[in-house]
Amino acid sequence: MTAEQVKAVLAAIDDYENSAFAMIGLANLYRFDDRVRSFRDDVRFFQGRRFTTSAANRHSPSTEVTPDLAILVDVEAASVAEVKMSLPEDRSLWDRVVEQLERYDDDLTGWPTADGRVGAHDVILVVHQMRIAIVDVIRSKIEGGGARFERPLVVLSFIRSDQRDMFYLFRLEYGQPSFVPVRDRLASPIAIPGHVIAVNYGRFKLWDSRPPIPYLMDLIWREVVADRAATHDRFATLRRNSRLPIELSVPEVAEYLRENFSFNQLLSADAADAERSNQPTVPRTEWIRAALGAFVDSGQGRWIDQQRERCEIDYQKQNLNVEEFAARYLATESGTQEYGGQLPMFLES
Amino acid sequence: MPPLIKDLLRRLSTREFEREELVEALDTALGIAPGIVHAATVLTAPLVDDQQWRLGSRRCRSTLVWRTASALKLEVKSRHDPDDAETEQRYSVFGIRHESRPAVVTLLSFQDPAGFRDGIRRLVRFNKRDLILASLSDKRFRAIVEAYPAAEAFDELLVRRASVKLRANPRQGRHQIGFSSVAWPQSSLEQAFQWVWDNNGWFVNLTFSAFRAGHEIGRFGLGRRGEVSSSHRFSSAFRSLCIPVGLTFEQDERFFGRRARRELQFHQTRPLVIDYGRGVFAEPEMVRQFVAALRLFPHGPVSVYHGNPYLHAAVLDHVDGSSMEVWVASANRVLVVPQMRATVWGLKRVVQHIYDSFGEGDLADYEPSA
Repeated sequence: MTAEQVKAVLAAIDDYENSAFAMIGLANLYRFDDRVRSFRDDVRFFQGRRFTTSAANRHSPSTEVTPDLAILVDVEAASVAEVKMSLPEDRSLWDRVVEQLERYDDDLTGWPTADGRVGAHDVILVVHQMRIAIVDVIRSKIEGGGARFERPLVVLSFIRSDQRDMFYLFRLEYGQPSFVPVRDRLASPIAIPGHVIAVNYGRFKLWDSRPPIPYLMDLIWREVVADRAATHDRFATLRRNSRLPIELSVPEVAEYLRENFSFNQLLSADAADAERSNQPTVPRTEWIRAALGAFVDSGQGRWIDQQRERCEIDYQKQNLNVEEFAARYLATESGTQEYGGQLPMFLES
Repeated sequence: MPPLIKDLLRRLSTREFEREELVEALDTALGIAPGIVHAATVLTAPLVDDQQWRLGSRRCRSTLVWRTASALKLEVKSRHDPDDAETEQRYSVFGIRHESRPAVVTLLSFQDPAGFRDGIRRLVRFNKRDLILASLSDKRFRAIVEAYPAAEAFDELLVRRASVKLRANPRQGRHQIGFSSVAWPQSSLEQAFQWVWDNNGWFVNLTFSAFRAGHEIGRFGLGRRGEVSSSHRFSSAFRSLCIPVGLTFEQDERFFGRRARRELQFHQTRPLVIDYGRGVFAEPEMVRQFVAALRLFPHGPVSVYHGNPYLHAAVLDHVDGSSMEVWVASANRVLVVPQMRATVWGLKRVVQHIYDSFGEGDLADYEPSA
């Protein structure tokens, strides 16, 4: 394990966070009402929601699709969006992205409406500004007949600006959003202040993509292990080298993080089964099992059943932070497999 | 030893007192024999009284000797080697409950600097979660000291001794430094405060003489953690230093309270900001400096997800398990986003650490805007 590998893990965490920031920013574009300078309360957004395509879908008839974000503004407007922080270096592979967008250009069912449908919706692609060349690819494919959209297609670019005050800049690169307030806001590039992202990120840290395991370990350590340890009688007088075993189960940790840190925590407990089944379960239990397994493999705990459902993680008042978890994970077999080789410059999200 | 003092010391060690009687006895003792009362004002968690002040472990523990409605006496046993009973020292510690809030107790030792250093301080250090010491910002520290002469009808205060910490200054290539100094001959409070301000520092402790009609009435001290010393008239120090220190607990509870996501509807966030009112983070170097300062948080780990040019970090407080995120995303302010468990004192520890190691700003609720 080298400092470079730890850096690579931290870079992967940065990527993961940036995708979440882009989704929060896009949702904020819809939520904030410029006219009254406050947040609309009729905007709902869904991360990783499952939709079913129609039998007439050009690429994937009657199958399930999961756009990164679905936005529903009361009955006025709807959008499905794909967020691409990174793209393959090989531009010929960008066709897949266009194809993915075409799948969303359909009478999708699975919306939280009476019949599961909306009248119409926009198809939105959000890309990092370094990758706006994809607009040329889309344009030429549409002009050449290689791609066709019946619904409004919108491409937005996204970049973080580190001026005096940090903000995220969204710029309209292609098309026009149907929802007039958003169209008006995007008449010129729009800045979402960093603090807006930060405050929302305080709640929404996990989305429908496997986070780097050290990131999950760090979150579990603070928000689950330390949180439970703090209720223990021994906690106050626990010495630096002493260990306080905290018993956890994989499903219970997954459920706790879903309720409090995922994009889908707003799904009410009494939601109908159909509604519940349309939302992905984030985090997935296999991610949690991997993170708890990394604690075990790095000597910070033990499985207490053969199915690897229940474990004890030893809480210690030591300086265990994300860098330390990255180093520990890299020393495990899973970490070596995942980060052992040279990482490619551009990872496909 | 003069019989008067002998009798007084005997009474202090055998009698039970109420608050006023104890303060009066200490005033009398300081009036007839040179000595110093050292005091630390703590907010006690409910379990402290529930457990009859039976606190700590083998390293440092307390037992209750007596307790009245407004005062108490403890025996503190302190061992530097927990496995060696030979290293155990025993100290007598008095406690005075504050009238406005009995959970606030001023613990004090009389004529026994070791009892303060090795007894009271250690007891508090090993029971940080349940015996909460005050943490004074520059503003509060100065306000308490400056109000002292008027409250006690002193003509002036002259600084005798100061222990100072200077915050790091990357522009001057300076790391955080601390030093004690007696080189404050007869300087006024205003001069002393101006000096620490000019040097971007703060007083760990400030000792000053109080004068009335040209006579020195006594020598008093106040520390950043609310510790008070008094060579005469402890009643005046208790009234005008310890009690204002005790009131800061309530101020902190009002501001830092009810911010844990677990306590809020829909587990929303209720962030706070430290506003510096000027573009302190306009230069990336200052963000780096802030990150370096934050990483020195002494009570738990700091995970830095992004350190430059903006900061996103998460802090865990090992004292009570509080968790929060810290952001620097604008030139003027630091944003603190409390997470599921975030106690008043966990948040306060992090903010005070930022104050001590980087700089003080104005605390405010975060106001959402786009």
